[in-house]
Amino acid sequence: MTDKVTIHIDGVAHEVQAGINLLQACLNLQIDMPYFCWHPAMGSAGSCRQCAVMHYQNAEDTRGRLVMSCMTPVMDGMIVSMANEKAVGFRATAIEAIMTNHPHDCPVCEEGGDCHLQDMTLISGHIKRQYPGTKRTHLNQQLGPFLNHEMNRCIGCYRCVRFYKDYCGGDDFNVFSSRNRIYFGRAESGTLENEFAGNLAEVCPTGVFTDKPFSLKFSRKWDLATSPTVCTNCSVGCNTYTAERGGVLRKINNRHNADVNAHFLCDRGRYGYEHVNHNDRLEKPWKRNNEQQKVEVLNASSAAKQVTDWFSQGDTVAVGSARSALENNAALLKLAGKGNFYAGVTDVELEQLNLLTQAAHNLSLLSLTNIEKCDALLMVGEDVTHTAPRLALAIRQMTRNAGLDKAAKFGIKPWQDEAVRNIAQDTRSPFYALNTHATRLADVAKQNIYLPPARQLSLLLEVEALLSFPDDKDIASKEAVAIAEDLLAAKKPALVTGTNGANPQILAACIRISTLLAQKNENSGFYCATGQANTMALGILSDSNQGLDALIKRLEDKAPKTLIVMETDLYRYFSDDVLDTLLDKVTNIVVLDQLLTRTAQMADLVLPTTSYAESHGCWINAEGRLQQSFATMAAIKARLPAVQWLQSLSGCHTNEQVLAWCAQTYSELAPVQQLLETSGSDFVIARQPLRSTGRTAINAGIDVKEYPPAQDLGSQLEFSMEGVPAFRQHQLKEFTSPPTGVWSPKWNSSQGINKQLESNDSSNNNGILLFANKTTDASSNLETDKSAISSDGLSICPNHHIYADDELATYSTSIQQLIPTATATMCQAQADSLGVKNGEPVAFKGKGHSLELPCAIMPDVCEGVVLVPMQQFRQLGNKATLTTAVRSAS
Amino acid sequence: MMSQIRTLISILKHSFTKTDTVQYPEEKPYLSPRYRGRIVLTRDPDGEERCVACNLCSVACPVDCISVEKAETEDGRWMADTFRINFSRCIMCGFCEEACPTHAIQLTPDVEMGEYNRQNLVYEKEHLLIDGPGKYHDYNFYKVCGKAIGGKEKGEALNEKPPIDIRSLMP
Ligand code: SF4
Ligand code: SF4
Ligand code: SF4
Ligand code: SF4
Ligand code: FES
Repeated sequence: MTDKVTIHIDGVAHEVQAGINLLQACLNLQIDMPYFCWHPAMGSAGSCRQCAVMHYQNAEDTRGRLVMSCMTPVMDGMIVSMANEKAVGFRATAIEAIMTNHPHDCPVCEEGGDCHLQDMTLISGHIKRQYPGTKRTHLNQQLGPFLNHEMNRCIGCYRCVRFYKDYCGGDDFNVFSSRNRIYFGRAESGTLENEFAGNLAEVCPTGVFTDKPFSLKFSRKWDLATSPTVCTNCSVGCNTYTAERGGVLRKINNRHNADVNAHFLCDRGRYGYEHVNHNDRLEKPWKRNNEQQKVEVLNASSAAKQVTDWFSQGDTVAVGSARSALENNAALLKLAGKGNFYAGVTDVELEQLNLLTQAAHNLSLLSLTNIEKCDALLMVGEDVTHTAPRLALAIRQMTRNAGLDKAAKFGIKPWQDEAVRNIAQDTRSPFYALNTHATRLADVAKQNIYLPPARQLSLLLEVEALLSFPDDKDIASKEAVAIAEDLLAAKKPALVTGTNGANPQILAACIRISTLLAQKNENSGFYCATGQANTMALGILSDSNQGLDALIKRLEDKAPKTLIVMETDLYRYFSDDVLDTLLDKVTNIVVLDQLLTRTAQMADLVLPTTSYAESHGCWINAEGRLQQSFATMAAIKARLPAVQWLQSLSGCHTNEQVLAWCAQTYSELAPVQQLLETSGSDFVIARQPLRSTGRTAINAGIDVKEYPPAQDLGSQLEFSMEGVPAFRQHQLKEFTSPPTGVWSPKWNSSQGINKQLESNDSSNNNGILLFANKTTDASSNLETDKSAISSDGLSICPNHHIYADDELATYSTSIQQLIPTATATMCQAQADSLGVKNGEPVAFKGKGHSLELPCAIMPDVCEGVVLVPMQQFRQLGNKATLTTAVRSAS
Repeated sequence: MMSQIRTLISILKHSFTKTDTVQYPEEKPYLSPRYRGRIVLTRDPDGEERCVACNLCSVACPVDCISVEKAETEDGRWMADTFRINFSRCIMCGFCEEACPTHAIQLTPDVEMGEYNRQNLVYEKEHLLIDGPGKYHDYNFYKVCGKAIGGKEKGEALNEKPPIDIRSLMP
């Protein structure tokens, strides 16, 4: 437990956590202290003058002096007054001054109803405008597909620039000009480059930055039904609020989880939801009728019966999905049987997942919050900015620790942001980025090392050797020595890698290094980003080597009678040339999916499944954290969760039954039992806020009769205002779902969360860690294949991209606009030795597939490597070769 | 006895006074312009739709019978994509009119809305929108608000300075 101090606010003594600032202490105590420039993740700036209180020297002091509570550390015995007339007057004047230039925009402002400025204005007591003068105005900028810019509404709190520049390291956004003319934006219009720019919509307390895709299907906050969900766009598993009205998914907001994403999401996660509303979504079951060359729409029961018929004929093979909930995969696995279940990932990825799950109990897998606390970090094999974006933001914060320590020596607290930055300057905790090419974290790295995979591996072997024998420096390279020294010297060293580089050798080496480190330092840790949101679930469920490549082999050997493909688009992994003929040999293809993918187009029977926004489910993130996600809206049309489609075959009719089966069958999943035991209370919970509008009109255009809201049988959440509202949920001891929204009296904007941080930190809603129990299992074969080190010649490596790689995210129009064109990227020297020029085609071959990409020259790609976008890399496989005729360099 | 006689006299007297009841519908009573009857959506003095789909009327409505969905024109003007009032629920309280920041929604002295079929009491935007400004002749919200729309650039609203040149070095 942290230390406590006693402070007296307006004559009442309170016990608060030591070391924090007075503002945060007040908010923790549920006192409505107004503020603008403070942010829990970015600390205090003391610039808005909104949080003033009267501070008295001692009990005799009657005059006191005004202090900014965000800049004042709490001290034992401190006496302050918030209600003091002068303090109240000061705050009222400050807000009045801020509002003199504020436009008369609320009705046409996306922030209205979710506006921190509206809340603070009322809390500070400024009701009527007295200032008769004119208002300053600003021109806006076009900032790309994610954000609107409406500069008139700026109150100059600096939160945006402190977030974008200081917190995210973005360099294309800044504050310009001076005093009343101050301007926050880019030097000129253009898309914001940072991958976390979308957070500005939440960080900015006003309507300057608002969510652009949301604005196109706008709804006030008081109308949005929300539920706690888990982001399904990558393996980090950030916690989100998904908001819906009228069956349309409107927007994603951050949901605070102190162990994962805390206050921020990446833009892939924030904007990658549009597949739920997409035109190509599947809504009805249908069957192909080959004789009549047409498609018949079926009803649910005949569709389910059709699968049962086909299944009962035997010889069924099933494919699970990395973008579907644990329950769906487990049900499918249960019905198909282990031998016939193939995980919807490549064999290489499955191999890596098995390495990881076997070693996981011995490694300490770090949460993002723990990564932020590390003081030395080695990132290997991939740029996590593109594969597990939120993790990269955590690593960026980790590099600040040396600076924070330096400031702490002078007694400066971490939240005294300006002072810390002044002292820290460029002091950074050592962070090494080992990759084939430049990463987005290059600016904070102590050293960026660009090497082909084989040489990355030999460097890792050197590091490994040095960790065991630190004195053998002369046989190792400079880089290896530096890395080993920093890792050994650190109090909390960490290693971050991923499975997306498709290189099991590198992962094995990383696991060995982490194991070594863990033996030397129990505070060390490890993080391995995996491919998709539930890849880890597949890793746990299928310990054999049955991935998609194995599936193809099985189809080649002998096509099964029935193939059930669940939420996996095989065409993302194999080319048409390979798949078309193979799928033709299968008699019955059943596809369960939410979208009309290429694979669904090949199906004989399509069963439409629910998206994450319409179903409950468990998701296991890269650190083995199992998190529950709750449906936001009722299933659209005839969609059903896969568990329901398969219920008669799997024998499990509800998610609980599937989970119970999982808990019994898999030792890793035994902790799931907790969920089954704790769900159950007499209360129901409302998804809609207290003031939802238009309930007797929204559907009246179709039928004036009012029908009862849809029932949710799978949880205690109601699709209506019925039940306990979000802000009272913490009073329900026995209920285990996180609150369905952020709202509390006087705090309409989601900044109200800052009053709940303390209770959130200690809540048990942060997920179940599956690998928390240390075991002493014999570790698997992690030996390095020596031939992997010596393999000289050209490596074809994946080039990840945050917006291009995730299948579901690419259905969002906003995200599509930022997908780069596919190129074969290499450095000048490599291009010269291949004899290609910028823009000329380069041909590749792999997995029975050939393709051509234009060459793009980029600095900071190591020699011996040609980068291919992940999507194309997946289809070529990791044994792809170059088929371009190498011209003699003349 | 006395009281019965008093009653008889009083009734007789009433037989000669003018009736308050009129022969509706042949004869119609006067309802003042601010009477709270059928709701309309009005236009600003320039003839543009006033409603900006801010949803304040719908949130003020105690029976939740207004449903509004926002749309935005190319030039930045917010307007209602859907505007639906379910008059079978409306209690003519006038809260929506009070809440409306643009004077778009107004109640009128028309109370003759009876229908045999309840569905016919659901009014869409096309049924609500009238051609004039209603009771408030002059107000034009977009002349006051800071958002630029076609024909009104930044700095051209009431009480606004021209947009700041952030590259200027003048003090
Ligand atoms: S930022 Fe807030 S106060 Fe300002 S116009 Fe928008 S909603 Fe109103
Ligand atoms: S743009 Fe928003 S966050 Fe930035 S200074 Fe203005 S009000 Fe604050
Ligand atoms: S980092 Fe991953 S989980 Fe988090 S918001 Fe982004 S895509 Fe979603
Ligand atoms: S009628 Fe008025 S209050 Fe209602 S949405 Fe339109 S502008 Fe807003
Ligand atoms: S929050 Fe304290 S001065 Fe801004």
